[in-house]
Amino acid sequence: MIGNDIVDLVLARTESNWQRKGFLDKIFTKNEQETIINSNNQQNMVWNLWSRKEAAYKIYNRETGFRKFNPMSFECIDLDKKIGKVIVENITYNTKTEITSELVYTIAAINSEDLDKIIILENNIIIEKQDGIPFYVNNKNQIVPISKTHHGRFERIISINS
Amino acid sequence: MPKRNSPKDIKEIDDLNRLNEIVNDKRNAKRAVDKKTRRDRHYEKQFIKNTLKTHLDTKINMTNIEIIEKLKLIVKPYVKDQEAFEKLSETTDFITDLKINSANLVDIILDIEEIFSIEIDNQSMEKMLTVKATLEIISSKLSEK
Repeated sequence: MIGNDIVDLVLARTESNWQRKGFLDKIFTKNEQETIINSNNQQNMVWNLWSRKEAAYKIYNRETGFRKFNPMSFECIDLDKKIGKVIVENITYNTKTEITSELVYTIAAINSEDLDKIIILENNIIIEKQDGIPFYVNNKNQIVPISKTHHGRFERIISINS
Repeated sequence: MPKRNSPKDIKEIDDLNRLNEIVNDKRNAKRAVDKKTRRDRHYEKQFIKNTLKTHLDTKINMTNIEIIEKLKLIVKPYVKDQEAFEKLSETTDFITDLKINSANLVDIILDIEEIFSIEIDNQSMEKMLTVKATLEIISSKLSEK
């Protein structure tokens, strides 16, 4: 299973004030807050960690059927490695994050090999949902699970290339 | 009205429907657009907080309807689907119905803490996805005071 999350850095600047009192304490663990404080670009680090948590949450939610708003319980580790990890309740998700001056984008997968098999789909496909899991029907009439993320100027729909 | 407003002007307004018009910074090209948006929203929140605080000071036991009224004001600046907001009820979901950005859900929780003078722990926070759950948490925290 896969999940993805994109942050439009320009929109994030107007939508959220991460420097607001209490904001970081509600979302990030002590270690993560330290990483943010010591970062050269604190704003990017905030959204970098956020997108990892959100991408992992999407899998968590689809896998367990639980909906919960508790970003703190998703801890990001291995930030400097090519494949990072997000840990929640003893479940580990693998992540890959891309940062440009315009956006932060994370893909998450249960199996790290799946991260190399991810393909980006056209934005105009018809997305349906079953048991909370989004999918589309491809031209071979196969049901393909997808993950979709949208923020500001950016949208990405992905699936695993099988 | 002058092109640039101040929170002082806002205090004098009774009609919430005029809020957008009041907080809107009408200067052109004086500031970066994103800064302006943030300032407008900051003023909107300041106004809402002022109004809410005066109400809360005079009221000890709030009914659910009264809490919802206040919650609506807190949520308003972050709502992306205005139509769903007009029809807000206990079953309304902040993310799927009102299309609120999940990072802004943190702002809503911080606003609730500030305005109701309560503390929301992570266990409570994780349930706060709907109006109903939020209402239950606010009233239980208020009764603990």
